Amino acid sequence: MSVVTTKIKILIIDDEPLIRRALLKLFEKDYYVETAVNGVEGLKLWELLLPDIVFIDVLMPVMTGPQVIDKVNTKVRDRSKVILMSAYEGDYNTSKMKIDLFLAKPFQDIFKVKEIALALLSKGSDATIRN
Amino acid sequence: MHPVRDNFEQRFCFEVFAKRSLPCEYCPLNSAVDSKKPARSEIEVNGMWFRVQTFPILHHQNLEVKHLINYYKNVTEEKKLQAQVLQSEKMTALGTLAGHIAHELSNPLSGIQSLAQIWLTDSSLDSNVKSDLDEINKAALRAQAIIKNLSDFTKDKDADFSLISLDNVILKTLPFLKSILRSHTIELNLKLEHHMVYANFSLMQQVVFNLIKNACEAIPQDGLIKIDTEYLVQDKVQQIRISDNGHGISDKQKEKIFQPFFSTKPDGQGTGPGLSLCKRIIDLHNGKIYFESVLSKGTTFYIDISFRK
Repeated sequence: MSVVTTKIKILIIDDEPLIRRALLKLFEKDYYVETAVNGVEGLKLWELLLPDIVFIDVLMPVMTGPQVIDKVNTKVRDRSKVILMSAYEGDYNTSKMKIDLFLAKPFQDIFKVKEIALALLSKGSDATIRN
Repeated sequence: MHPVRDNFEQRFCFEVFAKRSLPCEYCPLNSAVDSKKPARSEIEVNGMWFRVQTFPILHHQNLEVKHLINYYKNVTEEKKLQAQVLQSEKMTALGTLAGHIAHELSNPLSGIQSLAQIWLTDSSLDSNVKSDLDEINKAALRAQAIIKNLSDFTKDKDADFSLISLDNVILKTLPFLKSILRSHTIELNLKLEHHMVYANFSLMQQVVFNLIKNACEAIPQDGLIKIDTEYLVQDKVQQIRISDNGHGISDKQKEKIFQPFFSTKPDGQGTGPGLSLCKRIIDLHNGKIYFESVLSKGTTFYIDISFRK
C-alpha cells in the first residue's frame, strides 16, 4: 500500500481513543489523516505514509513515542514535523530528541494545537507549548 | 479493680498521678495483678501520653500481690514524632497515587474537551446540543484545574531557593486576586521591606494566594482582610499574618484543616488541596504555619519563616 495524495499528510499515534478521535476530527476535513493505536503500528504507518506531521504520544504500550522516533528511518523522520505529546511534562529531556515540538497534555484549546502544528510546516522552528 | 494506694496519703494512683476519680483507661494494673507478672501499656493524662510499667511485688508466703510499683514515662513527644512519620509516609504514598491519577485522567479529559470544542464550531447543531457541549467543555476545564492542582501538589519541590522579600511576594501576588478582592476591604501593613529570607518565590506566592483566597471566601461580602508582615525579634522569624472577619473555623474542622482534600466549601467549589499544599510548602522552608480562629469573628493564619532554610 502506498498513499498518493496531494494533501498534507498527518499521522496520529496515540493509545487514547479520544485523543485520536479529536485530532482526526480537527484535521480530516482539509488534510489526509491516518491514526495508529500504538508505537509499532505507528512506526509502520510512518514509513509507509511519509507524513508531513506526526503527532506521537510518549507513553504507549509495546513501544513508547521516543522509541518510535529513534527507530524510524532517519530520512523519513527528517521530512516529517514531529510533535511529541505527554501529560508528564518535564520528565523527558526533549532537547536531545529529534522532535519539532513538545505538546503538554491536557490541551487547553484544540484549535491552538492545529494552528501551531500547521505553523511548523511553514516555519519549521523548534518550540514547546506548555499550557 | 486493683488500683495502687499511695503509701503516704492512702490515695489511689489515678487520684495522685492523673488527678482522676476513676481508674485510667488502658491501665496495666489489672493484668499485672491477675497474672502476677509485670505489665505495661500506655495511658493518656491531660493530653499527655505515658508509658506505664507495673511491677507486682508478691508476698513471700502466699504469693499474693502485696505491692505494686508503677513506673511512668512521658512518651508524648515520641508519639507525636511517630504520628509525623506516619503522616509523611501517608503523604508520600498519596503523592505517588495522585501523580498516577493525574496522568491517567489527563489523556481522556483532553480528548473529551477537544472533541467538545470541535463540535462547538459545527454551525448545523441546534442550540440545545450546543449548550450541552459548552457545559461539557467547561466541566472538562474544571476537571483539568483539579488535576493541575493535584499534580502541583505531588511534584517534588526541589525548588530554587534564593534571597527574596516576603513583602514582595505579597505585592506580586495581590494583582492575581484582583477580582476576588473587589468586594472586600484590604488592609496592608507590610514591614519586611528590608528583610530577606531564603525561599522560593513562586511557592511562597502559592501559599499567599491560597490564604488570601480562603480569607475572601470565608466572608460573604464587604469583609475586611488584613495582611501584616513583621520581623519578630525575639523569635528571630519573619511573620506573615493574613486575617479575615469571616465565619471562622469550627473546632471539628480545626483538626482536619491541613489534611489534603479537606474543604469547608460547598461540593465542587473547593477544588484543591489548598491548605495542605500551603503546609507542605512551608514545611519545605522549615517554617511554621498555624492559625487562630473564633467562630463568626474570623480567622488569622500565621506563617513564620526564619532566615536560614
